[in-house]
Amino acid sequence: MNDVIFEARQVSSLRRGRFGKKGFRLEEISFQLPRGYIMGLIGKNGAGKTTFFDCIMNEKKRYFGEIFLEERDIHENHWETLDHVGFISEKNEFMELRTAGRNAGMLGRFYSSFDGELFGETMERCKVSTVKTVGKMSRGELVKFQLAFAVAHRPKLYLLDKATAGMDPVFRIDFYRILRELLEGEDCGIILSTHIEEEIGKQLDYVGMLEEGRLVSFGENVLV
Amino acid sequence: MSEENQNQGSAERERLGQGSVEMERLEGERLKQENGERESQEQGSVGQREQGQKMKIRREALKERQAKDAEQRKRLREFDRELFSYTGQIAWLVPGIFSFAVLGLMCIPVQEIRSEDNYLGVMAFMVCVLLPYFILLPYINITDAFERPKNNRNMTYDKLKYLPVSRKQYILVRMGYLFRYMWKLALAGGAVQCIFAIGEMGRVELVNIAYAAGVLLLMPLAVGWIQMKVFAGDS
Repeated sequence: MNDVIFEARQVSSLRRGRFGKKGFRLEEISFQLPRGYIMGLIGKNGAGKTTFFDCIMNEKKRYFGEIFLEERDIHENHWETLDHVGFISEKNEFMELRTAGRNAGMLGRFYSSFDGELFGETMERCKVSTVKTVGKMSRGELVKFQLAFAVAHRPKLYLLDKATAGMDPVFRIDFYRILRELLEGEDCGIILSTHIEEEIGKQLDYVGMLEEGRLVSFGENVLV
Repeated sequence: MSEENQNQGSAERERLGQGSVEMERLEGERLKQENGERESQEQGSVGQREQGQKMKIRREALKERQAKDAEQRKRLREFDRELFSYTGQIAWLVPGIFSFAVLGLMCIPVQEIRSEDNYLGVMAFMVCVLLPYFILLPYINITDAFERPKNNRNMTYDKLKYLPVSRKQYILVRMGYLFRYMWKLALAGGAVQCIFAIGEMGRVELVNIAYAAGVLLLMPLAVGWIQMKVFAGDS
């Protein structure tokens, strides 16, 4: 294996249930992602994919175990770690009433190495206008905008939470081509959650299957 | 005689010889002890040096972290300035009205307040709850009060929580804005309170100053802190 860019060790979370019911729980998730590969987290709805991403991205999220990005515990200085993580989600975490360019300008300043020109180039390649208001973008356009925003600050780890759901097949091919170019050019890793079988078969280097909060299998994708 | 002297001399020599052996032994032990002490001192000083170096590295790392933190708070203030330019319409008006009303109420010296003066409750509510809320409003919401985004998620913290900005930085910067407003109001309120205290009673007491500081500074800061903890939670 190449050197490891991301590692989860015995990650468990507990969400308290209401009215006496037991809450959902991640149970001892452990895996390593080597640099330069795409890993898919697959599982049916409610398996814990988004909860796992929340453990990485949300400062307030409490969990047991450890998560490392390039051998540094992400919760030691969580905000510094987020400088090296690019997050692309099906939800809109940007300012809806502002344009894509304005969003990039206002929010990109928090990253230590945000490249506005690279953002513009990636938006052009994805055929999305920077003067379009984020609230008026379609789902596919929103994902493309988030990808351009993430690429612009050159993260070490890309997290894609159901980013390709709802994407047209033509762009999906180009999307994965962009991801492969990122892996070649930068020393980074990609973890994405998906339901789409075609992606699982052709695009992923490593596959981890989540079931009711447990990682039931993890390994190299033999179908590629 | 000479034989006796000889015997005595040899006994003496023997005794001296034994003494010198003893002295040599004692000298050797002393040297050994000294060497041992010197070695342990050296080891101790090496250990201290290593510890000193570790402390130095830790201090430098802490300084670097503090510098990064200060830089990020500066970026957050720049972001807020840009945000305020879009959302400031109601923000300056409401706190201004409340501040004016509160300064009017500060004209009554605290010693003159009777238990049946109901306006105090209104004033406490205005100053402690509404004033911090409206001062912080432009920095908590990313939209103007009259704009309605699609999914109503218009809290600024929601837009920043996945960026390299910590909750602590977010809260501290906003509390800074609140403090900057409230201490000026407390100063003005205290001055008004003192002037009217001199006019009514001919003297200023410590309670007049404490009243202005407590009502116009400490309590609004405390309530503002609680509001920020709530607004910087998950929505």
